[in-house]
Amino acid sequence: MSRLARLLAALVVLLGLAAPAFAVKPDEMLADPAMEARARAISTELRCLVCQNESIDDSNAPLARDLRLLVRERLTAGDSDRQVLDYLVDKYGEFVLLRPVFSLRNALLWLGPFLVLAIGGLVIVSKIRRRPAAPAAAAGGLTADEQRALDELMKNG
Amino acid sequence: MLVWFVFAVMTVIGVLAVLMPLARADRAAAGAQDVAVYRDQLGEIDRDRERGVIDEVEAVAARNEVARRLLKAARAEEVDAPAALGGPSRLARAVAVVCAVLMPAIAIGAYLGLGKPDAADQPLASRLAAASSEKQSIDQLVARVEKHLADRPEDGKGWEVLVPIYVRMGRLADAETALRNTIRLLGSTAERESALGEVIVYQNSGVVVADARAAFERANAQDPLAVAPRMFLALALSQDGKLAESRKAWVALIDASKPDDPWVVEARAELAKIDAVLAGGPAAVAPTSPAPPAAADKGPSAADIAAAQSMTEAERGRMIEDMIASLNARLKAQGGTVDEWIKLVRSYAMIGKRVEATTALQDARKAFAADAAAIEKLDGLAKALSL
Amino acid sequence: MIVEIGHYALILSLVLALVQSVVPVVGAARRDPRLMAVAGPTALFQFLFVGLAFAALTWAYVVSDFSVYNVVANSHSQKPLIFKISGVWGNHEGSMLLWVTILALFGALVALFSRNLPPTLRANVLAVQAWVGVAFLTFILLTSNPFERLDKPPFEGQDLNPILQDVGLAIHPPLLYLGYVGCSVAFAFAVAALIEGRIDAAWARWVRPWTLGAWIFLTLGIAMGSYWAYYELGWGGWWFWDPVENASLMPWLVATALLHSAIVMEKREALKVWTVLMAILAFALSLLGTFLVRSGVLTSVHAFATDPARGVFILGILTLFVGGSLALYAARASLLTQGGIFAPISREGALVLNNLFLTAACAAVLIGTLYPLLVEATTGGKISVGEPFFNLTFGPLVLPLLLLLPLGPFLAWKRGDVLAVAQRLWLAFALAIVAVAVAFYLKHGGPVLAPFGAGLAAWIMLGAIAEPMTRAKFGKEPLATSARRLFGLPRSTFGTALAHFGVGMMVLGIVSEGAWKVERILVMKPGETVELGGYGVTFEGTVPRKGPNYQDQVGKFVVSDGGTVVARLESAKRLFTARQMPTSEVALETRGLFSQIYIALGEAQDSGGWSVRMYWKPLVLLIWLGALVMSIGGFVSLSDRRLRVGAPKPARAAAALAAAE
Repeated sequence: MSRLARLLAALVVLLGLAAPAFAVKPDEMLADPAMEARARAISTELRCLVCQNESIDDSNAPLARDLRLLVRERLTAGDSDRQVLDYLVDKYGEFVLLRPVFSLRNALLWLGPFLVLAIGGLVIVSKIRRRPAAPAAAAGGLTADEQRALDELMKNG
Repeated sequence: MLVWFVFAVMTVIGVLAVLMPLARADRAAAGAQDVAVYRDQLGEIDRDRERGVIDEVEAVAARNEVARRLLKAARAEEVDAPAALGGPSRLARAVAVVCAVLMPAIAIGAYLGLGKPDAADQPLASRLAAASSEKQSIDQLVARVEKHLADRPEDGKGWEVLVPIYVRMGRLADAETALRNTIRLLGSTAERESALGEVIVYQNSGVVVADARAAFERANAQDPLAVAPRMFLALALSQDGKLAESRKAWVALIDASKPDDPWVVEARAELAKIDAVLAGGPAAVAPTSPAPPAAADKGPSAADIAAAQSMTEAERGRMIEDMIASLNARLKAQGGTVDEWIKLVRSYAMIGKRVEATTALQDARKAFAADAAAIEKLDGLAKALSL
Repeated sequence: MIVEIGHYALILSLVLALVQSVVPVVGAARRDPRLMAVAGPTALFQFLFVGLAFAALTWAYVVSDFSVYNVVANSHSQKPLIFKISGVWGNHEGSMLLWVTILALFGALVALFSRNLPPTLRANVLAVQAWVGVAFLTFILLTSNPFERLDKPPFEGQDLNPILQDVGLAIHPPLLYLGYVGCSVAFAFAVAALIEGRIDAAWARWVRPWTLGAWIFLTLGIAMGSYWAYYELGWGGWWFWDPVENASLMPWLVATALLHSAIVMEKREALKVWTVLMAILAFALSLLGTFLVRSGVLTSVHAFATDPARGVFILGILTLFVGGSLALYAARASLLTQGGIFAPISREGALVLNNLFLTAACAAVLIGTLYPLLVEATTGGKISVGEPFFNLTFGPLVLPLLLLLPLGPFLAWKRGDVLAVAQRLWLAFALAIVAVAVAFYLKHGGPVLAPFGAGLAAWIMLGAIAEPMTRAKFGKEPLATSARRLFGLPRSTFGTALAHFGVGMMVLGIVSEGAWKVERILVMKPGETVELGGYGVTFEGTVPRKGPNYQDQVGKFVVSDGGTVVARLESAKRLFTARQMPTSEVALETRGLFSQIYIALGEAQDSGGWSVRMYWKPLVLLIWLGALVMSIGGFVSLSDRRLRVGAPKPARAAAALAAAE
C-alpha cells in the first residue's frame, strides 16, 4: 500500500524550507558502525533549531543536516559523547538540548512529578494513620428503628 | 425581506422553547432517584458476595453502610419534595415575561451589530454561470480558465493565455508557474524564457538571481539580438561585482542599437553608474549584500571618513580597531540585530583577529539560539569565513 | 440567505444558552419545578440552533460561497467534496464552531437521558453546561466569527494544498473534540453538586456513564491521531511529545483516574475529595489544551496561527472556569467528608494507588510541557524539554502502575487478601516469566530490558483474562457450569478485562517496536537486495508515472521470505506539477497480523542509485489495536445495565403521586 508523507511536506511548506530531503542520508553516515551508533544516539538528544520539536535525527531541515555532520565530525576528531554535547551547547545554548540539564534551575522540572507522587503518598499514608483502628460502630448493626424503616422502604420498591 | 421573516420564525421557536415548560403544568418528578440507586446497591452487594468479590464480614458492614445512606436519602427526599403542582408561581410568570421580551431583543440587537441581512448567498457555480451578456470581470474569466486547467493541466495554450493576465494582476508567482508550464508543454522560445526571467527578477526586488539568469541565457542563446535578455544579463554582471564585464556588455548593447531606441537612455544611465564606481568612488552597495547598513549603528560620519583619509596608516588602523571594539562592547551589553553581529564578526575577520571573530560568532549564536533565520545566516557566515 | 440564517441561528443559540444558564439555577434553588423544567428544552434547542449554524457554514464550503471570508481563507473550488467539508473544521473559527456544537450536543444528550437524575441536580448540571456554552459562543461571536462576509467576493479560495487533504486528518479533530468536550459533562456534574451541596454515592453513579463516554472518545481520538502520524510522517514515529499531543494526553490520564475513582466513590462514598477534583481537572486540562493550541503561546505544527488577543480571551475563560470551580471546591470542602471504611489493602486501596500514579504521571507531562514557557516568562532563557525528559519521568511513574495492574481486579472490596490474590495469579505470573525467557531466546543480542517489557505485557494480558475466568470458577467446576457462570457475569467485568487486556497489547506493541525494530538507511542500485528483519528486500529500479496533477518516480521493491516473493511494494517521489512541490509516498506492508514493513524512497544519487530508508517494525499495530480494544472494553462497560438503574418507572411514579394526593 502506498501512502503520502503529506504532513512531512506540509511541515516543510509551513516552515518554508527547501524540498524535503531525508533525515540522516546515507552519505552522512560514518563508516564505523559503533561510532555511527553513537552519532545517532547523540542526534536524538539534540533539537533541530529551525523545526518545531524535532530532533536533528528526525528532521529534514538543511540546518539539521549540518548539525548531524558536525556531530560526526567531532566524534571522528575523538570527542567523547559528553564533549560533543558540551561543544554544541557552547555554540547554541541550552536550547539545543532536548533533555534539560540537571541543574538547580531545572530542579522543579525534574523533581516536580516525583514530588507530586511523594506528597500524594504522604497524604494517603496520613489518612490511613488517622483512621480509627477498627472499623468502628459506624458499620455496626442497624438499630431496631433503622431496620424497620429499611424494611418499609424495601417493600415499597 | 424573506430573511427577516425566517429570523422571526426562528426567534419565535426559541422563545417558545423557554415559555412552554414555564406554562405547562409539568408533572413533578417523584424524587425517588437516590433511593433507587441505593436499593440497587444493596442488591449489588449480594451479587458481589456471590461472585466472591467481597467476603461475608465485609458484606454485612457494606450493607449497613448502604442502608444508612438509603435511609438518609429517603428522609432528605421527604424534606425536599418539590412544590405542589398548581399554577405557575409568580416568579415563573415573571421569568416568562422577561424572556419573551429580552430574548428577541438581544438576538436581534446582536444580529444587527454583527450580521449582514442583505448579503445574499453566492455559490460559486451560479456566479460563474452568470449571464454572459454582462461584461464579465477579469477575475471571473481567470477563474474560468483556472477551472479548465484543473481538469486539463496539459493544455499549454491555457497556461499561456493566463500569463499576461497574471502579470497585470500582480500575481507574479502564478505567472511564473504558468510560464514554466507553458515552456514545458509548448516548448522553449526566446520570448518565453525572457518573460520567465523578468517575472523572477520582479519577484526578487530587481535582483537577477540564478534562475532568472539561466532563463535569460537560454533566451539569449536562441535569439542573441533580443534586447531584454541582454540588458538583464548585463545587470546581473554588475550585481555580481563584475563591473568590467558588465561595462563591456552595456557598451555592446548601446553600440548595437539605434540612438532613439527606447532602452538606450537606461543603458547609458547604467553605464554612467558603472563608470563612476570604477573611477574610485565609495563602493557601491550591491543589492545582494547580506548586511544592509544598520541605521542605528553609530558608524563613522562623513566627516570622520574625511578625517580618516588624511590619517597615517597606523592611525587609521587604530581608529578602525576602536570602532570595532566599541561595536563589540555595545552588542555585548545591549544586544543588537543579527546583521550587526554579522558585521562585527566580519570586521574582526578582515583585520585578521580570527580568535575574536570566533568568540563573537559564538556569542551571536547563543543570543539568537531560538531564531531560526538568524542561525542560518550565522552559519552561512561561519562557512564563508572558514571559522 | 442560508449563510445569514446560520449566523442568526448562532446568535439565537447564545441567547438560549444565556437563559439556560440562569433560569434553571434559580429554579433549583427555589425548588420551582417549572423554572427547572426550562433546562431541558433550552438545551435541546440550543443544540438545534448551533447545529443549524454549523450546517449553514458547511453548506457555504460545499458550494464554495466566497462571499464568506472563512471559506475564502480555507477552501478552494477544486478540492474534492469530502475535503471541502473537512475544511470546515480545519481552521480556527470553524473548529471553534465544531467545539460549541459538540458542547451543545452533549448538553442535549444530558437533557434527554437524565430522567433518572433528581430534578435539582439535572437543572444545575444543564445550567453549568450552559455557562461554558455562553463563554465560548461569546468568544466566537466577538473574536472568531466564521460568518464574516466580504463585499467583493473573490473568485477563488486561498487554500489548495493537496498535501493537507487526507481522510485521517479530517476525522481526527471531531473525534478528539468529542473526548475533550465530553469532559465538560463530568465538570458540570461536579460543579452542580458543589453548588447544591450534595455530593454522595448516587452522584458518582450518575456521573460515571458520561465520564466513560468522554474517555472512550478521547482514547479513540488520541489513538487515531497517533496512527495517522505514523503512516503520514516520516520514519514511523507515533508519538512525539509535541505540546499539543501532550495537551490531549493529560485529560486522558485524569479521565482514567476519574473513572476509577468514581467507582470507589459509588461503592463506598469515599474518595470524594479526589473524585470531584479529578472531574474539575479533566475539563480544566481540556480548556488548557484549547488555550495552548490557539493562543500562539506554543509553536507546534498543530497550532492554529492566531492572534494573541484571542489567546487572552481564552485565558480569561480558562481562569474564570478553573479558578471559579476550584474556589467553589475549596468553599465546599466540608461536604467532602470521609465516607465508608476500607482497609489499605483492598480494591479501594488499589484504586487509590492507581489515582496517585496517574496523577503523578499527568503532573510529569504538565510540568514538561509548560516548563519552557515558565522559564521564558521568568528569566527570558530558552530551554527545550523533549522526548528524553518524558521517557525518564513519565516512564518510571507509569511502570509501577502497570506492574500492579493485574492485582487490582482480584482484590476484594473493603478488605483484600494479597496472598489469596497471589495464589490466583500464579499461573499468569509463571507464564509471564516464560514469555521473558522466550523473548530472550528469540531476540538475544537485542536490548536487555526489552524481554522484561514483553513479560510485563504478558503479565498484564494474562492477568486481565484471569479475572473473569476465576470469577466463573474455571477449573474448579465442570466446564458447562463455568461457562454459564461466565456469561452471567456483569458486563462491566468483561469491560474491565477487555480494557486492561488492551493496555497489555499496547505495552507489547510499544516494547516490540521500540526495542526490536530494524532500520536500514542506504543507497541502493537497481537489482540490489538487502536483509530486513528476516526478509529480503530487492530494489528493482524506478519507473516514471503520471497522475492527474502530479508526476511520480515510482520505486519498485520486492519483498521475499526465503526464496518466495511475498509482496511487491511501491514507494514514490511525487511532484505536483501545478505547484512544483515534491513529496514522498511511503510503502507499508503488514506481515504476520501485527508487524509492518516500511519503505521510503529517497533521492536519486549521482552514482545511479537511490537513497532508500526502510524499517521492519514488529508488532507495531498492537499499539493502536490495543487502544481500540480499550475503547471496546469501555463501550462494553457502558452498556452495563447497572449504569442505567434508577430511572423511575412512569406507571409507579404516577401511582405514588396519586397515593400522595
